[in-house]
Amino acid sequence: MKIANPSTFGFKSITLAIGLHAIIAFAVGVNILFERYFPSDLWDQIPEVESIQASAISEQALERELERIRAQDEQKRQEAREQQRQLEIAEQKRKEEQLALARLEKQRIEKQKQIAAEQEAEQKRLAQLEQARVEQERQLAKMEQQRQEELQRLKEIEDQNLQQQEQLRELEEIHKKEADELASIEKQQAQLENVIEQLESERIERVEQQEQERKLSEQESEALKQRLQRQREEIQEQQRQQAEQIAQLESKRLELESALEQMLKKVQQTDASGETATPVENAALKQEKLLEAMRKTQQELANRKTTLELQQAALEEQERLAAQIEKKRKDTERLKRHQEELEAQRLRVEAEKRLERQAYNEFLKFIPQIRAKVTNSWIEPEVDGNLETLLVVVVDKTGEVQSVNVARTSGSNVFDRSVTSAVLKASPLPIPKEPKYFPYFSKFQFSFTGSG
Amino acid sequence: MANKIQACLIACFALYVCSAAHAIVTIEIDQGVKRGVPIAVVPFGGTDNLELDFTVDEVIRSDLSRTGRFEAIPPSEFISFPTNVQDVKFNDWKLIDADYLLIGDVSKTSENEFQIVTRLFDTLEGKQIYGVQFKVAADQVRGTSHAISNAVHENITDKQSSFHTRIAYTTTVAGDDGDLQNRLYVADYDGYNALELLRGSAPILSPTWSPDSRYLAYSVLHDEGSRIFIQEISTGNRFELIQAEGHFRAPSWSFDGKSIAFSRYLSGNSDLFVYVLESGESRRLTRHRLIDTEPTWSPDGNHIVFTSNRAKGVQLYRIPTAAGVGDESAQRIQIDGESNTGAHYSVEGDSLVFITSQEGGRRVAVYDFETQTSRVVSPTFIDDSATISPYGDMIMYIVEGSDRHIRLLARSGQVHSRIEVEAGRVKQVVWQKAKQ
Repeated sequence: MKIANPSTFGFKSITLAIGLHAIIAFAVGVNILFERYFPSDLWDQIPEVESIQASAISEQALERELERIRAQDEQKRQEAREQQRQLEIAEQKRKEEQLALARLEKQRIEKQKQIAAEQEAEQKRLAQLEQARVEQERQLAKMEQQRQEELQRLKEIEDQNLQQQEQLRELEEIHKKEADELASIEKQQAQLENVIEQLESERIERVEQQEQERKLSEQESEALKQRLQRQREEIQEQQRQQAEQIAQLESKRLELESALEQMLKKVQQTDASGETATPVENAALKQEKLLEAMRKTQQELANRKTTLELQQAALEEQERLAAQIEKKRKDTERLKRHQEELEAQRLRVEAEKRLERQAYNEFLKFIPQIRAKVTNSWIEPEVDGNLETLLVVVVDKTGEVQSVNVARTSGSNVFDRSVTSAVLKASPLPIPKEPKYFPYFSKFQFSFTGSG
Repeated sequence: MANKIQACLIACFALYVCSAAHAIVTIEIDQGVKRGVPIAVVPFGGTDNLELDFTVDEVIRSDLSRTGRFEAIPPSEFISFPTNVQDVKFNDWKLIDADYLLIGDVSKTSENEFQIVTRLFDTLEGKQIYGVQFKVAADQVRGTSHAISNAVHENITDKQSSFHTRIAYTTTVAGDDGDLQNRLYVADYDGYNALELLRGSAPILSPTWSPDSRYLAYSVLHDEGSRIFIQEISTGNRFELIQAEGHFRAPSWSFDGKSIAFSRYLSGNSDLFVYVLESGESRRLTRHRLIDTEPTWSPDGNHIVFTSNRAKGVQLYRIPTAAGVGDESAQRIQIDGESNTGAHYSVEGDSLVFITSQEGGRRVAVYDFETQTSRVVSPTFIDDSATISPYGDMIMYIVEGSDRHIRLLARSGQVHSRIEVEAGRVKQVVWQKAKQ
């Protein structure tokens, strides 16, 4: 502890010199009382009473001396009291400082709470966004349902197609049944072919229409893609800028934080050194400002983030939508392709059947000749009961018999051999010369029946 | 899922298309030509050294031609003459339209033994369908040839043939002293290998074979009457069947060999009787004031068909053979024509061959029991003594006239040929009953 400045005590010296004797006596008593009633630590600081070294001095000198000592004494007490007061003030200031710090801390916590609340609000907003997203999904589901309905419609069209094919087949069956009557065959065939041609032209129209639709859809899809791409790029650019801003803000925030931290450090140092209260107050003020700035920064940051997230979500949503649209387009295209395949298949079949029918009709004309030739070469054996042999005959383009196989035996070797011989002997068989018909009758059967 | 279904549909459709594309047209043929199967019988190798009065291939060609089921191509048309399988070129035979080819080789393996190897080919399919090897004595070569004919016939037509059977026939020959001499022979069906069983001045009538072909029964018309004899072919031994009052004629041996039916002529009336060989007793079958004769046994022995003038004209009647059956059971077999006589049952029992006066003259006809219809089969008009082969494939009969001879007719009537027999006027002919 330090002794207070002695210059403050000058005005009391006269009073002290007047009552010198009494004071000495009193001082002795007081000294004893002080010894008994005051705590020692304060008194330890007080210097020892000086011993007077004089043998014959005047009363006046003595009184002066006593006066001096009293004055000195008083001064010292005054100083001690002053010191005590000073100390008390310092203590009080320290306490006030601490209170201020606590207040600052409290404010900081409150601010943090505020920030937390804000964040909560933000989350609420995010939840709302989520809800919006769900809503969008519901819309998407609706769209999906619409797509399904569309598919259903396509399926129905396909069913109609199949029904048409079925009708065609029925027509052909009727045609086949009446093939025996050669005269009516050709008439019916002409009619049938007219019908087929009509169907064919209708079908071609349909196919063209479908092709146009498909091209349109492709163009649309391409435009959408490009638009999306552009949007995506823009958003990405925005994002990039925002990210930069955020980075800047972040670095600012970091700077501020580090500044704050340094300040706090300084405050603490000041506290430790026990210097005057003024810098502490300044520091608290600064701190508050800083916190304010920080809050603002965080607020902005949160705002930016929210915006960013919203944008991101919107972008994702768009992309998902685009993907769905693309998928739908592809599904439709696939369906179309299938239909086209079916159509092509049907056409091939149609053509093949037409050719087959022509070949068959052509071949029919030759059957009497074939039958006559084989009949003439068949030496019919005498048989017991009714026998029937089924032969499968393969001919080459000139009608030369390549192979004869018994597909169903009569049970009699002799009968089977006689009919096999008949076909072999009848070779070459008279068949249509038109090469395109050949595949349809390169293989045919003979059913030989004989009865005893 | 929808795509899968579509794929399935496409696949099914494609399959349908494929199957439709390969739908096979079937041409129905229910009629061929009725003609003989063309066959080439190549002269057998090694026959030059055999000192035989026939060749194997000639015998076979003749046999095969007789049923009408074959057309033996004359060797003059042949392009090649293979005697073993290595030399066979099927094209050579396709060119002359020979559906089948028979080749063979005869070699002498010892003093009195010959080896005959033969193969039958289907020339169209180019494969052998039959092959066989025999080792036989010299006097069996002809018989073996017939056996080969049988085998060929059976392999190609699925039917057995009568090429290896025998006949019995009677002739009348002018003797050295100017008197007529009657003779009884047995011979191969084609007239070869004739064996004389009996000769004499008395006419020999109605020979009939025992079912085992070891005996013949016949009647001999002596001055004092007509008698029935049974003679063993291998030994020539014979005995008289019935020694009783009357004329005994027209014996017919039953197919079971136990009985002989005959007609007895007494006091201007002729009725039928059955003689049972085991007991030696006879029983009456018919009783009618007019003539019943020429009985023939059904193969099952249940009926006898005979000739009678009991109603208008001379007709065929059928009567059950069971004991106690009265004459009233005899029923006429309804066949057109003024007269129908001399019936013989086929071995199958389903038909009769007889002489009819239908369609002008006397002709050979066949009656079918199932359809109850008859059909004239001979091309000639003065026919007599028809007999049917054991397998029913051929009919033999005698053509009357100045050149009286035996003719062999395919059952179908398509082909017929003369059978050369021993010198003389052939009177009657009968085919053996037995199948081999």
